[in-house]
Amino acid sequence: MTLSRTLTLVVSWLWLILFSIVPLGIILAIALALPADSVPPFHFAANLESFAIAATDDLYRHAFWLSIRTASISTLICLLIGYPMALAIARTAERWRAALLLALMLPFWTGFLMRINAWIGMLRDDGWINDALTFLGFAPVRLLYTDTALYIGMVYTYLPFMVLPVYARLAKLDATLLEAAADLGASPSRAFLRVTLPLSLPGIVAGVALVFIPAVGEYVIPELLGGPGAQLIGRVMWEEFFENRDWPMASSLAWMLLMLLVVLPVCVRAMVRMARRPNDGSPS
Amino acid sequence: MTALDGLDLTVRRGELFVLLGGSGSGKTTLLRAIGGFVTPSAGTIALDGTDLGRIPAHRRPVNTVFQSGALFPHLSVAANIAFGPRQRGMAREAIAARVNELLALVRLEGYGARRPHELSGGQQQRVALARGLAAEPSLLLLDEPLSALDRGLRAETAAELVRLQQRLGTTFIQVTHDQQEALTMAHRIGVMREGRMAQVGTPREIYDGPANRFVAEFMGVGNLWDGVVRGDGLSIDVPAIGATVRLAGATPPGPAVLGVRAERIRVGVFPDMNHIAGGLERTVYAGDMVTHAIRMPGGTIVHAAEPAHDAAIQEGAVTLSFPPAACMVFAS
Repeated sequence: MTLSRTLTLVVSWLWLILFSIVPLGIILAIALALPADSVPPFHFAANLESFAIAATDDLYRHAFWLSIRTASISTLICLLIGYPMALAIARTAERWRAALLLALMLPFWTGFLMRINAWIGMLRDDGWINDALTFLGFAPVRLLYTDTALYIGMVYTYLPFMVLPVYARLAKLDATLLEAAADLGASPSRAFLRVTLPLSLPGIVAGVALVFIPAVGEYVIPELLGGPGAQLIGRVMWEEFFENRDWPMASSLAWMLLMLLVVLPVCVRAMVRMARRPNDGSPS
Repeated sequence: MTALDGLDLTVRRGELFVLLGGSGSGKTTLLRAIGGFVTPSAGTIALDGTDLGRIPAHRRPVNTVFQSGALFPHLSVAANIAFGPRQRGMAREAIAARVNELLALVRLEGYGARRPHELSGGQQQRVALARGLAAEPSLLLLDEPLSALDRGLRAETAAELVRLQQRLGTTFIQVTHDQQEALTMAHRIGVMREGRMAQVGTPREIYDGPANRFVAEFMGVGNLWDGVVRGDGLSIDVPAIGATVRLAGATPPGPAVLGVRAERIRVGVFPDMNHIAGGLERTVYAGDMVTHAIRMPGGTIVHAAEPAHDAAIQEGAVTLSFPPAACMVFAS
């Protein structure tokens, strides 16, 4: 083994150990600790009670369920909006593509919190959207602190993470394949279903993972835009840490979320393997 | 930019017609217009009397074998071949039977379950051919179907294509830039230049009787000289080689181009031939043939090729002989 190769491996492993495995170990240790009225607020132990409560208590189960549901719906909306966007960009003349991709990523140039706060200004009862509705003669609607605002924030934030991997896949698609499909009698919609869509599937899978995983643990968007009912797991963990000062409980929840998100990619990989399996041509 | 212009071509039913031309000659554009992938701004394309003009590509009874093969990478070989029949609503069992029939036709029995990337280039090209034929098109378009193959495989695949075309009787229009391929495969050839048909004819007609300087050059006629056909139409004055050359048949008098293939010119004096004399400049060995370059007194270089095993070593002044039958006269 050469020196540079050894060095590369050592650096990657050090990085992984220092910034992933050690923190996860600390959190696990805290999850197994006993809560105490001290600084820090726990005593190390081998106590499974926090995990047991995290797994069985209705409040937490509801929070997990709500998080998964919210993340799933957000991911689905991102896919429904993002796929046509990616397709449109991929089919735009080459010289315009860079500009469109830049426009897609431009919001990242400003801080995330600033942008979410800007949405508050738009969604408020006396915000721009309701001003516009009133001006057009419609009754104002309540938007801020509702699920609508929550989904607007989620989709707004995570849409680029869906568009980019799908676009990368579609841009690589050989246009001759679509000509071949048309040549063999496939209408444009059939050609899309039988050629474009299956060939972009790995991009969809990547986009779904990139949106779904951070969306499940999202804290800021439900906190700033969502209603009091939007008790997503990120918010619940925050409350356990900072309001109840029950670090073992918060750590248990963090570990359970991690397990959930590890199980999920395994399922996703199984899905990809199924998608890549030789297709015998049976109608889908 | 005009890719095709003033082009009038009729391809006969059951014919293997080859469009031959260099890059930019419009041969591929013509093929794509027939396939429905580009729309001509003027003119009509008709198949069996039906105007194809307004019919989109996916409704034309025409299939294409693409240069790259364009096999669907996510589908098996069998599903690739079944793609066309399925779009046309053929019954499931009929499709399965058709796929097996075609796999046998292109000698790929047992390969149905494979993916395209698991096949060699030649096998992929045969799958592309089978896929193109699967829906029984009235016309099959082939865009440089042999260009992706290496030399050895090319001749074999060309023979296979000809055999298949004869057996099925489907009309083929094939595009190529390779005159050898065109000569060996075609029933008729259309030589294209700058979006126009420079000449249409059988391989023999094109090879032995090029209609103009461009076709002659493209078909590898090594010696082309400007001249004037005499009033009797039986000989031509060629200043470049300082000779009056006898012709085999009556030719319209006036300015014309004389073309003589290098392999029809022999070094030495032979009876009943045209004779010209010059100085041998160099001889290039090319395995089976040697090519001599002979400088005429006026400076023109004449090329003469002979089989390498017949070639005598020559130096200095030589006399060249070529028969009147080897003289091709055409408009410039």
